[in-house]
Amino acid sequence: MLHNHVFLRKTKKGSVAKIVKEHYLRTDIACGSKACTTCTPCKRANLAEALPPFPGSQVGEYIVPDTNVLFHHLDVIEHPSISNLVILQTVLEELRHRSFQCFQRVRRLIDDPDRHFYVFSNDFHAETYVPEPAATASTTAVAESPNDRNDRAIRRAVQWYNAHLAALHLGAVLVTNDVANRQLAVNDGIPALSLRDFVQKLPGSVPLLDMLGAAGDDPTAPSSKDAVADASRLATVYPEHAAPASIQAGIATGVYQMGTLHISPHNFQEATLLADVNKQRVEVLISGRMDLNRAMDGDVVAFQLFPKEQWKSIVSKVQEQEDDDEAVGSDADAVDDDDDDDDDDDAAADANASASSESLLMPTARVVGIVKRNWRPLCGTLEAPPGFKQHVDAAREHVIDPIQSAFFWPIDKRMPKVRVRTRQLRHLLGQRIVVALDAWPQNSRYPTGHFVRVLGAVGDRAAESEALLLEHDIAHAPFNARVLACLPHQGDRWTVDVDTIDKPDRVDLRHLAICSIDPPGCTDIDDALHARPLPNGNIEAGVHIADVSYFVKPDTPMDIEASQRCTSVYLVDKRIDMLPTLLGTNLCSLRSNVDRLAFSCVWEMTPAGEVVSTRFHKSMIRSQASFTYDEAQARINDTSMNDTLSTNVRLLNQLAKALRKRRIAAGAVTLASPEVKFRLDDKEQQDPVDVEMKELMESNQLVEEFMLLANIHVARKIQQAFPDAAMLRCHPAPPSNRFDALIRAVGQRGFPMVVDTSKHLSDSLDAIQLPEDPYFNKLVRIMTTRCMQQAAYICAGSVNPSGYWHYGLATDIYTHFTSPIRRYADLIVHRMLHAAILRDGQLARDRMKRLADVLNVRHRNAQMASRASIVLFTNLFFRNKPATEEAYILRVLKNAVIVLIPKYGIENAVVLPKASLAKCDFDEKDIAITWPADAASQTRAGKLALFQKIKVHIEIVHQGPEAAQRLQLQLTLVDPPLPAA
Amino acid sequence: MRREIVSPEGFRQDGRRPEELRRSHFRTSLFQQVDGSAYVEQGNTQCLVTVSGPREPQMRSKSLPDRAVVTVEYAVAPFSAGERKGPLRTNRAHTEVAASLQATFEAAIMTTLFPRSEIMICVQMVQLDGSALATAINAVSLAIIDAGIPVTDYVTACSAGYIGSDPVLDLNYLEESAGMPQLTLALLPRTRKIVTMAMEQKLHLDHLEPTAEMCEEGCLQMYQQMNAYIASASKLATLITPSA
Amino acid sequence: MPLSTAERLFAAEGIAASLRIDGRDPLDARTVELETGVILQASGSCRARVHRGSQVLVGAKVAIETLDGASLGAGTSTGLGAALGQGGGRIVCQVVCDPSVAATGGGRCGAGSGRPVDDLTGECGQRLSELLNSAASGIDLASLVVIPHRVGWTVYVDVLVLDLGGNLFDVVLLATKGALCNLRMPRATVLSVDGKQDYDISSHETERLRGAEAIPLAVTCYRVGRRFVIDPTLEEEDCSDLSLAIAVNAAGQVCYMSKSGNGASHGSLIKTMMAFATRRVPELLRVADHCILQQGTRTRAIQGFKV
Repeated sequence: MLHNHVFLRKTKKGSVAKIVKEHYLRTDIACGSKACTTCTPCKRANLAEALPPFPGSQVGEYIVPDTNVLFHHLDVIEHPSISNLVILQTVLEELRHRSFQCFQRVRRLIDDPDRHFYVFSNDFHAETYVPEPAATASTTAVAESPNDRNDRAIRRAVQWYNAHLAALHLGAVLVTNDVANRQLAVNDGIPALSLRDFVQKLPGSVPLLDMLGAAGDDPTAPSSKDAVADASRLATVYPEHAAPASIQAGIATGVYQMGTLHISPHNFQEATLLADVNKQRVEVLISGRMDLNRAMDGDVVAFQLFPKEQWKSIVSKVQEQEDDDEAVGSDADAVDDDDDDDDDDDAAADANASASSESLLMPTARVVGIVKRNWRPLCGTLEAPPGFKQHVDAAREHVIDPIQSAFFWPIDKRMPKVRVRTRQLRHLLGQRIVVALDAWPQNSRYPTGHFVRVLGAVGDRAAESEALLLEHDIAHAPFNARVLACLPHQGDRWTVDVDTIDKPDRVDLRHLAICSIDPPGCTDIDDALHARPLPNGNIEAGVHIADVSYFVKPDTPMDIEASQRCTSVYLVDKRIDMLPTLLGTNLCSLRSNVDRLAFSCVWEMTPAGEVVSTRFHKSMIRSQASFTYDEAQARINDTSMNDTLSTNVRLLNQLAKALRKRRIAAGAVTLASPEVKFRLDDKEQQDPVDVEMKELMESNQLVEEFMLLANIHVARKIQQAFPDAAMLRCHPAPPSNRFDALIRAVGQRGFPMVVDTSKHLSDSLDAIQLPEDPYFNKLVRIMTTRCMQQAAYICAGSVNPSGYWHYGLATDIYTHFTSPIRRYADLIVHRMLHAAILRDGQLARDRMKRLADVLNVRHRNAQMASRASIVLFTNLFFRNKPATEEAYILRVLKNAVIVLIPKYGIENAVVLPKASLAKCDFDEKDIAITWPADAASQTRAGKLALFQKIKVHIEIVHQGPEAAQRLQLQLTLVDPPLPAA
Repeated sequence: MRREIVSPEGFRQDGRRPEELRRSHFRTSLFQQVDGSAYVEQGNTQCLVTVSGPREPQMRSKSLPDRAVVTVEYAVAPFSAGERKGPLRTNRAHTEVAASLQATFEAAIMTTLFPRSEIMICVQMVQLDGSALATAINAVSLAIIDAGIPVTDYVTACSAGYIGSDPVLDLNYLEESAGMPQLTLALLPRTRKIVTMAMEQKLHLDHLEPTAEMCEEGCLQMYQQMNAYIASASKLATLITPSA
Repeated sequence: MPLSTAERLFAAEGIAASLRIDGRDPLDARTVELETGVILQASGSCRARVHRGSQVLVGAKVAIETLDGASLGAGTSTGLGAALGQGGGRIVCQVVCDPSVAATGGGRCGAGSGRPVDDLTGECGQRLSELLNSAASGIDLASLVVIPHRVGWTVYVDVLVLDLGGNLFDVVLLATKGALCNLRMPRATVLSVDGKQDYDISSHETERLRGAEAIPLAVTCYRVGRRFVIDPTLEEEDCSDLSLAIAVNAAGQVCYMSKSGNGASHGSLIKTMMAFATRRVPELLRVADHCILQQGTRTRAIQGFKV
């Protein structure tokens, strides 16, 4: 049987394209029950043969959830007590459309044979196919919406199942929270349940019921008695979000713009995003609860710019979500008072105050609608509601508590607190828990969510680590058996079989004096180098990268797992690998004195670093030494060492210097980060015992230069071979207004700063030197780094070639090739390069584009997790030893200064006490906090301005539930002394 | 969000399994002014072919002393695709298809029986929904049989793509535009000789064999269907000819 | 082979004696067969086949076009600009031949001495375009405007001549009417935000082309000798030195008229032809409309009729 599906698509040109799709209906689709003998046998049939009936049912029933149940309550569905689900094709398609992530999670459940999930392709089944609503003229009153059609299809499938399974004493029940849909089902004699009713029929359903949140609650139940609900009710409601159609229209006409929102880590009511203002890409500020209008960090929002009169000064203030004002100390703090006009007053004041200094105004905007939520599970703690008493009554242990509301405080300071309803409140207090967001109603000050699971007690190292990984969405489970099955079966006894491997395109380079240079203790050695003089006076230099693509073949379980992890994640105390350890630290790792497979990039260069020719090929190498940076440096410095490896290293160094000079001349910007490295004690505890700065030596730069060179050359090669699909890494020029504050501040110190090109920026940075303060240059570089855009992976076909530019490195094209053990992008680039050499391979641009998007997200997450891990360990380090240290002011806010402590790489706010602040002035022009001398309290006049060196006291405070019970690093100003209260 | 070409359940987006052909429909003897004509539908790809000849060549210079010349005209209707395309006088892609058809049928038609004559094949694609070349070959094959021109065998054609780790048969437009390599194979089914093999994307040699095998299987299926049609059509013709 | 003088004379004298080659009366037409909804990719389609005569396939597609759209060619936008300036959308018509038609007789109609095929199809497309874009066509061109003076629908009518058997224009117009009555287009909704306008297009084709039912049909009268015939075969067409296409609507009003051929004629013959057409076409419309509207559903159906 055949149907044609017809629909229209708006084309890029704005016109319409008609798409006609055939749709074949079949009779050979199995129902999936192992008990069934009439259906065509199907390997995937996985529904249990016999089921115990639910209370109140005659026969055992398979569960057929609708799309909303899967979309909103996947946590519940993922619970191991739920099995024997029939996932309809209709539902799966709808889910894919709504959230690809949800779709993938459901797919994972389906693949798990123990869960007995079965996908029934109901749309292809002749008896369950439901035609699309007939295209009716606009004059007809009510046409069936696609949603209604899908609901009808789902009901039809359940009906079919019941008829089909009746003889086997089995049935199917529709689970939907849609009351109308349930009613329609009941009218047709189709069994239907709400998710809540269904879950209640399961044994041991209490934790599951909690995970349901408020969904399916009796809407008539009086909730006004609920204190938490009261507190979160808003006197004035949020503005309504614009409908998708009007957002689309607004964007098309340029009234609205679209962007991804980034909430400031210092102030949860302030966010920035990128927008086009007067045809320039600039950063735009959205501040205040009402203008943010329920948008959260990472959401894609539609926003409207305010007219210039309402633009604001860029000077912000620290505002964390805390009910007590002491920690924040701001009188205009509009956190929890009901007077929401406060925000607007504040805005007006800001605008007036800084109207004089026009150049420092930042465009402002308001959110008009949310295009796509970026909701993820949140980690944090619950706050006991007022009047709640922890029961210690043993007799009540087994009694199910009534539902109670409580506030959940996320660890992530950018997130608002969340209202959660639970039956297990007394068990959850003091625990790190995971909560999923459900909704943010217009009349609720805070969003609502539901409990998902417990990670462990607050302060427990394992629980905190787990929370950290979860917060950044990092998969850290051990590799599963299917992945491990992809490893060579010889295990660590695997050796390079010289005779059989990939002849003839693999070149044997084992005779070359190759060495690797890495940090001490490095086990995953990605790269190795060699250099040798050629008879013609030129030098041959080679970069050899671990040939991971030999072991990880496309679309194998290992490849799929790696493509989901995207990168290894480096935490202070551990590393979460992208690939199984056997590969990462052994078979791929280019260890010394064993044969290893590599992908080589070999150049002939003049002694001045000019590349004469380049060739790429797979190779076999035998590294002769694994140097640490120190060892390599020693060989560079000690010219008396004349063995081949040492002369090699010096030759490489000579070339690297030349390369570096060229790069700097081209305008590469040397950036800096205040990163530090913890030294952990060797005991099980792994407590941090010391902190050291990362030191840069010539040997570091040597490796860096060659890696850059390899990456650039590979990028060029793959771009030529696959102009559409090549995976590149670009670094866009920063938005022009990002530097405004920095330029002004540096200008006050008497240094001009020109940022129009990276070359000018680089030159300006080099000129900034204060003889009395050698750290000043690094400080400016750190701040410059902050102004930069994030570098990103792109698919070559998705942007104009001018967009390939890498601003920081000042090169026209760049990619990642040199670390395939720990980055998936590099592995892809390896495959591309190999395909480019062989002139083979199929690369789909869409796939690469999607992959690039995923890689970017994962890389950012990995970076954030590393930073969070450093913060965690910094806090542990200072837990029992407060210290006083020198710090530099990076930013001056109205009630605080953001400082950097170079010794520990800590960047944090120093919030000034409210009482002292009252005696201070805020100098709008110079952006400084000043105070006059006060004879009474014997304080000298003083000021806090950008770049100023101050002394701060570092200590750790334990915060209450309203700060998610985290350890918080607290800095207090020691010198200059503030005026006393 | 992109959909997979073949779902884990083993179905393609239109409900077929990877190894299944689309529904096809044939008609012959549609026009009276030409010697043979055929109309073939494979899914929503529709193709109309007329054949004239063997006859005196319209351009004398083109004639060959030892065999007939096969000329092919290939045209695509403006309304054949999702977006309207105005008719183009010279379209390189069309010329290539025409050349490919010409080569295919010069191999199948017993051209040496008709020296100094011309066989003119006109192909009009009425609707496009993937596998256009294969459909055109099948339609020409039927039109030539309808015209009574001697051929060594039917020529049947079929396309297949390769995605993930398995080949899929008879691609439709959406599958074609997913950017997978597509192989079109034309076969003389009785001898299983390949007369045309066309592929424009890259495909690893290891994957070519399963893809070609699947194509071959598709060609043989196509042969069954076309043969059955011709048999029934000629039966019909003998039944109605006397009264007509 | 070109038609010989004797053959020509035979045909002409037959007509003079009211005896046509295929046995019809001079004012008799052949049976026509209509099939609508044949092409799914088109928004409206119709195939018309005259028994032992011409066969055409018409596909109509719609496109929404913006005047200031940079992607548009200059030619189309001026046409669109003119149409929108007059407060209406536009209908673009094109008649092309199947390669087999173009190839027979070295690109000349019929037996070879006739007009070049390109000439014939060009004329046919020109006439169709003039008729459909005039107010007399009955089509509500104003309903094709989406945003006044800026955005409008263009209906592309593409005629594919599959077989040439004389009397092309009448058949083409009939099939075009069939296709336009069969046409369903998506709905364009105008969205206004702060005075700026944009549009959105529905994902299904639901809207009829307003006024398509009112499209007139044509009878082309071919003068052969002193008489005229309608619905000629290709050979008869070859004998004619003057023809007059007359489109008439259901009310019997002449909507469009176009003469072709080298001959000149007195007004009296023209008057006779017009009188005939105004009588004949309403009758034809009654039968044809019945046939077309019965096929109003989008399924394929074949129906033949004859007046």
